[in-house]
Amino acid sequence: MCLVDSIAFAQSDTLMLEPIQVVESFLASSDAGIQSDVLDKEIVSQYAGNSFSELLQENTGVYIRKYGGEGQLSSVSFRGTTPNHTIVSWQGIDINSQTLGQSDMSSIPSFVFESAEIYAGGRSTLFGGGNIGGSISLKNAKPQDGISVGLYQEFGSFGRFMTGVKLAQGKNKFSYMLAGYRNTIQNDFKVNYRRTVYNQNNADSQLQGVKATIYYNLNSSQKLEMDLWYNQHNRSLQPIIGDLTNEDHLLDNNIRVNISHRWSFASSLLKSSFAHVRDYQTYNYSSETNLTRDIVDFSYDYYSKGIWNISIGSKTQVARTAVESYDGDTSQWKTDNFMLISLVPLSKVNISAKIQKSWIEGVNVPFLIGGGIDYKIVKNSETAVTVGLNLSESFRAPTLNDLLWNPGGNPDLTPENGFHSEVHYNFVLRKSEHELKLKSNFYQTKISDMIQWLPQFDDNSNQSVWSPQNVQKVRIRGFESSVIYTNHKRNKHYISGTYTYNDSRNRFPVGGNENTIDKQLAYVPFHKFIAKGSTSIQNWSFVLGFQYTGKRFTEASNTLYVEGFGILNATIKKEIYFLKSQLLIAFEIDNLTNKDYQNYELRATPGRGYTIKINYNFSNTILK
Amino acid sequence: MKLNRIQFLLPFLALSLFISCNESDEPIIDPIASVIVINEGNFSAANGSFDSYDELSKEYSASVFQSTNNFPVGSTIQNAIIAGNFIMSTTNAVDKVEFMDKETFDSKATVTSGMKTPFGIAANEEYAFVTNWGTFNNDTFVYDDPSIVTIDLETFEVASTFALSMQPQHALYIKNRLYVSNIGSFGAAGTSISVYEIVEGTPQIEKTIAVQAGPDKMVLDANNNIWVICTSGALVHIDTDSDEVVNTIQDVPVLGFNEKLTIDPSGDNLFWMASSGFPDYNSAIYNISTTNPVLGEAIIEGTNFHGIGVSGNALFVGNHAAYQSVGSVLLYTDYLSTPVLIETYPAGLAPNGFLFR
Repeated sequence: MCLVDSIAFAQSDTLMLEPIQVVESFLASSDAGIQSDVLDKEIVSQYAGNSFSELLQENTGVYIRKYGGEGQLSSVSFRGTTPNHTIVSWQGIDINSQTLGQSDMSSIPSFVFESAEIYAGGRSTLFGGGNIGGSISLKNAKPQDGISVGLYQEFGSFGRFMTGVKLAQGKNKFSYMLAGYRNTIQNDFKVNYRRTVYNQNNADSQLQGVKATIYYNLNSSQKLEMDLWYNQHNRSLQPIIGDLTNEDHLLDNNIRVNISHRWSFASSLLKSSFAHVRDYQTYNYSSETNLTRDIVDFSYDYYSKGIWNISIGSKTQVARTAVESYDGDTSQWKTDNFMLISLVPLSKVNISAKIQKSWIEGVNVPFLIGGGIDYKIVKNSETAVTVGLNLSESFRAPTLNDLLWNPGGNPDLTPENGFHSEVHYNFVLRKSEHELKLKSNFYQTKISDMIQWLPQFDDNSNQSVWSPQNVQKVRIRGFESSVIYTNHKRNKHYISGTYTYNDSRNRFPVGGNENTIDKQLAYVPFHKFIAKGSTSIQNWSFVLGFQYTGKRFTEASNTLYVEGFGILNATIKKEIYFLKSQLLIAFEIDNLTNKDYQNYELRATPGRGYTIKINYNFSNTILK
Repeated sequence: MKLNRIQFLLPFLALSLFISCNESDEPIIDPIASVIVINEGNFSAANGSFDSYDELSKEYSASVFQSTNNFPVGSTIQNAIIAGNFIMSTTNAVDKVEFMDKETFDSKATVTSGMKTPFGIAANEEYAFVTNWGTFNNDTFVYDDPSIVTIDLETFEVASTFALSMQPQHALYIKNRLYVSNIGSFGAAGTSISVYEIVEGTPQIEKTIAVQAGPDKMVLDANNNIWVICTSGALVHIDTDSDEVVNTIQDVPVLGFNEKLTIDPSGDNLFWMASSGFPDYNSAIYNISTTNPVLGEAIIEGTNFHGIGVSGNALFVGNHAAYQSVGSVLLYTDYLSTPVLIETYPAGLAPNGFLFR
């Protein structure tokens, strides 16, 4: 996973809440041989009016499969894998749909998060099963002392309207942050169809919710934190091009509560948390999928003066379902456990090893092992060169739908198994105001027993039904590289490019079809390229961004495909400071060239669109 | 319309058979006729298509509708017929009826009004008759408000909507009457064929013929009598003069839903598909003589069969490739004796039927 670094907006975050808190424990930095990336505060704040779908598509090498305009279903996949191989977590809670096994990134508002960590491949196995491809960890902001207020307003083409409010206060032991948001869009863009043009129908989306975080320092070594996030996504499901009568609708309600305790003592950190999650989904106002989860999580980190570290963790979850398509209400227990040891035998060498074991009710999960090494070839005031190697096993358990769907669910499924190997190369050069970063990863992933839904004849109903089977094998080879140049002079300039190549080949004749062997997986682009350039002069900023996604085959024999597309976006922004306030006004043009393209086959996408963004921030403690 | 087509093709079929007996490298299909492959597409993706294949030139053209019109069909194709100068096709996931020129595939009209899961289609000179399943009810798992929609072929507008009490499947127009198989719903299979007289574009019930449970696909034999295959495992022979059941062949291997039944150009031999079910899930094709209907063994066995058609000396089988990729067409000769697979050529997604022109 490669990532474009922050776009340089000279003082865009001056009055925002505290600088990003990326690392919770040494876990995030001790798994040697692989790299994580951070979508930092500067990037995330630029997408305050969007969901994570747009944020990831325009700033990372991951592939976003999107079923139309903004707010429509969109899934994320890493390194040539499928959306089912990605875990999205918040406060350590897996917020993927436990029935489908994936997250809809259009339901995650960027506004209420300050940053996100992106893990690809091997490292992600530390966070439980399911992330053969990778994982995304959403991060809260933490308030500083004093009071800060943020107001966000956005207007745009196709009925776009976003309002967001943030309030944070910190004083001595107690601090809190409250946020509310409502993001609506009609998606009534023009669609070319059959020599005519019509306005897209049935594609409106309303994403709204509140989020609250409360911190309390019990003493100098113990901290309590409570998080509440209520999110509602109420939307019409955009039909395929030409369907003018479809009225499909989806309503998602998610309530997530997390209480955690951190206890630091004598080179150790002990964390414990309890979470309660309720996910309600209603399709077409009648078909309901309801699921509740209770999760208990413990972890212990020990630091031995930088020579060796150890981390042990255990997470237990019980999920209770009420799904119309299951044969009655049911529940499932699972527990994920891991241990990671990190050694620094030499100043330039970091070695790590890990072991993981999960127990899932009704599913037999193997032990997983992995390890890696980082070696700093050069490290001086101007230059840093690092190489690394990582080898890891991973798994993905069958989803609840895979096991329980009626008809077709298969209780005899086994987990999918993955094996990752990865090498990386990092180069950083700094001279006076110039900075150049080059980052490359080469990787291979092999997945066996991959679950595929195939038609089977069901004797009970005397019909052909779709049923999941452990049949598919996939071999992925890929390459990611990014280059970033930044001029840190008073007028800051920045340019970056990221290229991702994924050769993701099926190795099994799916459904007995020999034509599918050695063919690229459906909806996995070989190529993705993103580029950004920006320049900031005094309080003005201008940003130009380009993203290209290559053609994607739509079926397993690689005969049919949707064309690749390249999208150009431009933004001009002005920051104004007065008293203890910051006012930020931006004008953005999306799809500058008015490109007619399809991300997903036969799902229309908007043409050129315009957006005005207004962001006001006040803080009684921070001055420009 | 099917009768006209068969009558039209018979001399050429006879000629082609004669030629094929003497020239082994000659076309096995009527050289004038070309094959149209109906590719159903994947339901959620609505990517059905029409392919054409010319036996004489060996030219295969994929997605001919799209290449002709510069836009795709954009839906899941359920059924298609040739009637007059048109190919008429019912589609879902955009619920509509497509009318296209039968020679060029040029789109002539699209009717979406009044369409709720259209499935079968038949036509006479003035009207097309569409069987509408209705709107799926998530609570009852039954399609609500099934109907027959009549489309005026002059204006391509809906002339009438005739409400039904249960889900219809296929339609057949013969001897100035419309026959509709009432398949019913899961757990409440229909047991009848309805016969309608068409009065100013509106069906008026004339008779109901009781048949085995789950009447599905219907074809006409050489005597213009109807054979209908039932999902419960029966072939029913209906005399279209008396509208009485002449014969019912029981214990027929079938698919169990969305049956595929066709008849050879002579009108004397029926062909249909079946599945062996658990644990092999193999596909099979059976045939039976309409004049001496004795059920035998499967004539072809394989996997992933999805569509069937007969023209000239060739039996066409569509293979859906487990719905994971584009499918293929298997072409067999000697289908009345020992079928021989002589050719396989590509198709689109889930080829579910064939037209011959």
